[in-house]
Amino acid sequence: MIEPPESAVYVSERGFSIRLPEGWERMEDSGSPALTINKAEVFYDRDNWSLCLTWMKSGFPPDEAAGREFDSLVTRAGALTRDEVARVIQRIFPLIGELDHWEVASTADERPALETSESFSGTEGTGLQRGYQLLFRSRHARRALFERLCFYAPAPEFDKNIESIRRAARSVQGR
Amino acid sequence: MVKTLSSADGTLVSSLFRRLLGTKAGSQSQGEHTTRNYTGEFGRLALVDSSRSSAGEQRVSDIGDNKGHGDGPATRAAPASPEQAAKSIRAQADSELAALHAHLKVTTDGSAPREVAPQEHFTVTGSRTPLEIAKDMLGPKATDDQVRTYASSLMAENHITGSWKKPIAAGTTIRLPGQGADGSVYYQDKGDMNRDWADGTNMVIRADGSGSANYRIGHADVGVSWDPRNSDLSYRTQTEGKRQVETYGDGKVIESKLVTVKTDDGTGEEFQKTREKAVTKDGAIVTTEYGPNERVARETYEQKDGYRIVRSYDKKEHLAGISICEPDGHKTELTVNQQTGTIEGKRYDARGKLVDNVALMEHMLVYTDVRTGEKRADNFRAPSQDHADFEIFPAGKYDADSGTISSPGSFISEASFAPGRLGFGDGSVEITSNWDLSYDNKQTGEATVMHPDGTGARLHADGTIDRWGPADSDNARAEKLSPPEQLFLKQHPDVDRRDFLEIHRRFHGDQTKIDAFYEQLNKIDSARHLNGHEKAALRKDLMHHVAAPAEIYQGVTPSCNVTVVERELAMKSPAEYVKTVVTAVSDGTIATKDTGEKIKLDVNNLKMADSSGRDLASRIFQTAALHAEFYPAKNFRNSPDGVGRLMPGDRDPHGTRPIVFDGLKPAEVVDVLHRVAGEEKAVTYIVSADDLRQALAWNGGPPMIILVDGSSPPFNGAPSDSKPNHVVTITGVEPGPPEKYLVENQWGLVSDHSAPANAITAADLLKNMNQFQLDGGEVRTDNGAVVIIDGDHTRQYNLIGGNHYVNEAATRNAAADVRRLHPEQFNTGRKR
Repeated sequence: MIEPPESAVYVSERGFSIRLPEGWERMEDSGSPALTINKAEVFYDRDNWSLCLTWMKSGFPPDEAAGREFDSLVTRAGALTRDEVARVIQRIFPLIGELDHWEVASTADERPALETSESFSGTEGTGLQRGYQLLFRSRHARRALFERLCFYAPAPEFDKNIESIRRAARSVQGR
Repeated sequence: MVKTLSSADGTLVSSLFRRLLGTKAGSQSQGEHTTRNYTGEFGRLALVDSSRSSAGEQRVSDIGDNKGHGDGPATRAAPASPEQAAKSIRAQADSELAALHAHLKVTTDGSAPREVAPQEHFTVTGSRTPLEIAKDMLGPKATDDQVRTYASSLMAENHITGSWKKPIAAGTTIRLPGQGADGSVYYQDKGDMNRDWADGTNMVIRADGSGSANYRIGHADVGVSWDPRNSDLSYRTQTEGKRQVETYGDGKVIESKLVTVKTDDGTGEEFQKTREKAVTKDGAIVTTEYGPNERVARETYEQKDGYRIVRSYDKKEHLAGISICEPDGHKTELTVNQQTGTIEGKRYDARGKLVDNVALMEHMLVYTDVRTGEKRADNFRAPSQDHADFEIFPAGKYDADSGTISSPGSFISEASFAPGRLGFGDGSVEITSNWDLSYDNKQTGEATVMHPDGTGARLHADGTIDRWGPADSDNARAEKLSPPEQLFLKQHPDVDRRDFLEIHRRFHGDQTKIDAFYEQLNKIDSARHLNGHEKAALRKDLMHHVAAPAEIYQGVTPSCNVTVVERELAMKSPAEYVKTVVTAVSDGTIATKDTGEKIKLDVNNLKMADSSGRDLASRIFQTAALHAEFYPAKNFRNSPDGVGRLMPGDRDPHGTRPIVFDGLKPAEVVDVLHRVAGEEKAVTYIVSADDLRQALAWNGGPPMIILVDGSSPPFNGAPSDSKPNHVVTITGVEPGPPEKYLVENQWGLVSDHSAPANAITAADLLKNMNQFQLDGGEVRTDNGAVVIIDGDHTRQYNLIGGNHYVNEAATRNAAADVRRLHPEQFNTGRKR
């Protein structure tokens, strides 16, 4: 197996770090105060800014039951069904289309996570789209707050980039 | 996009629907299936059971009507067989007769009567009267009454008419009755056994097992009849004076009284029912009490499960109230508003302490704990063909945090992604975490909405509307729909009539505003760039936003800033709101109110499904509004992650690459209000609760946008290093004391504070609003709170003592905050 080239580690003032895919960098934000509880951080391919890996944190708790069900899914032995995974994700960061892959993963700081991919029809003329999410709990949160790394792209670009995206997403760790 | 999943939930849902509808699993067809649909445009999860049978439906009016008595299920007798019923009645008669005749004197010296066998062929010797023959047969000790009884029976058996002193010709062959040890005189006639006693008692036992008896106990006349083939013919009637009691073999007891009634010939007397008691097939004792002319006044169910349920009726036999006594002593008292048909009340514990507010909606009893606000629901089913009891069983516990009903017994049919609204059963009944209740009867076209502030409305099947509430303007009776409303309903019969009704109610029947709204909404029908499904979704979304602006949702996006603008438009100018959305998607433009410029939009980007959880209407509005705000410096584009990007604009001297959209500044919120909604509002600083009250007055009342810290109480969002970081809308005031503000928060109803029960005190709200923090620095409380009220949108103000003063320093500092006008401000972005 060929190891990927060493890539940059991005350290966010929002309390996480991530090893980005080669050639990817952070997208600028406005840099000034605005009415937002949690600003998202977006990373993109310098050669194709439409390819973005987004870190987001929920601004408000989705629901306590979803949090409990999430914990149950990521800690339980045995296979997960599509329905139970979809049911939990819908209430945290909603799916756009059909869930077609899911597995329990973990972040670099060993937080259990749900990793999913989905397929959906884009608007006219854009063809089949695919999406990826790595969903995990925020550290030190008193309530059920979640973070995610997500990546959406037309199916060909998705397939081409998903391995490096997955590696990057799983490298996330809190500070 | 609609997904159809075959899931394990299907079994659960089908099972629960069966419970709801009171049908048996075995009666379901083999072809039943359950689908679960998620519709991105609606942002809702819908569970639909196609096996649902309309036959099992139960309406409020069915629960409340008067069909339970008479032949109806309420008084259906216990399932005693006709044989058992006959046996029971006969046994009662035998027992009473035995007691009655134990000391019947049939001989002059009180000795036991001579037992006389009946004779089939007795030849009369000489000329003898029946009385003389009787004396001969019974002996000298027989009393005169006993002799006369025997003589009468002899005449009856031989069909002899006339006097018992009339001689029977010599040589005539006759039959003779027998005399039993109990003193009865008996004989058979055509297979029937007849028994007569000297006290006037008679009994007939027929060859087919049926029979009858008539006797007297004290001053009461008793008639008994039994028939092993028909339980309705097995009964005992006791009449004493003007009172009559009928007891049936299946346990039913009917009490009546003799009353004078008018007849065609003048007046007459008849027995009318006053009370009826029956045992249902499920073992409940049902007592029906009647008023004048046998009108039902009250029905009481004493059930085997320990529940006692009382339905009371008014003089017109309309349901007036329901009382439910639970086995542990809790008691629920519900009353019916005859004007509106709504059924509401209170639940008390065994000591009489109020514990819940309760409402009956269709087949649901929905409770809200008066102390905690926690909600739960019970199914409440009136007797039907499948069950003769009222059925009360849990529908689950409502969890306000999750917006779900927990097992066992959960059967949510519809739950919005934005938590806080739930549909029960077939979705015809909905409740929200703010305690709004509503139902939509698609069969009859009726709908009802009820709110915790006492307002509500009902759409009747005839198309008229009743409205009610504490203010004069809330109230109207039999209000007719306007022609545009009627036309809209006719052309769109599938719309949610709750929303239709609520829109009419919210605008107090202001037909100009309402008709303008529907005029714009009708334009969806001919809008371009939308398929049929999208048109239906957009129509539903827009109606729901105008009906329930508290449920306009920002999802997981940083778009609280334009969501409050969307709400402001939906509340104040619904027609303009719809026009903005429909024009955006159909024409691909948004017209700015400040310059009149038509800005081109990317329709595909407006419609693009994202992972924010917002519905189609909100995605279109919020994307279009943000694009209008930044154009031409930047082009706002929604993104699948729901965050949005600011793309290089036509007049962007610096940018060549996108930047992440991270929210609006306060000056931009008033700018977008001005640019998109045409409202002249300004950022205004206040410091006290009195200022807040005066700000609301200055604004002309609600809605009023305010800046808050979403991280701290009472909003309790995620931690943030800047304050204020969120905008919400004040939509009303509870005068108190303490004075409280109704605040709509676009995080879903469970995060909302727009109901009296979760309104925010002025002190708590000011405490939250007064916080100021920049990039994790010190939290200050001396910067003032910010409200957005009437004023020049290019300036910022202080409101002091009810007067509006321009804050020159704040105005100067904010001058460059509208980045559309100062695109160089985008270059403060930090690149690492």
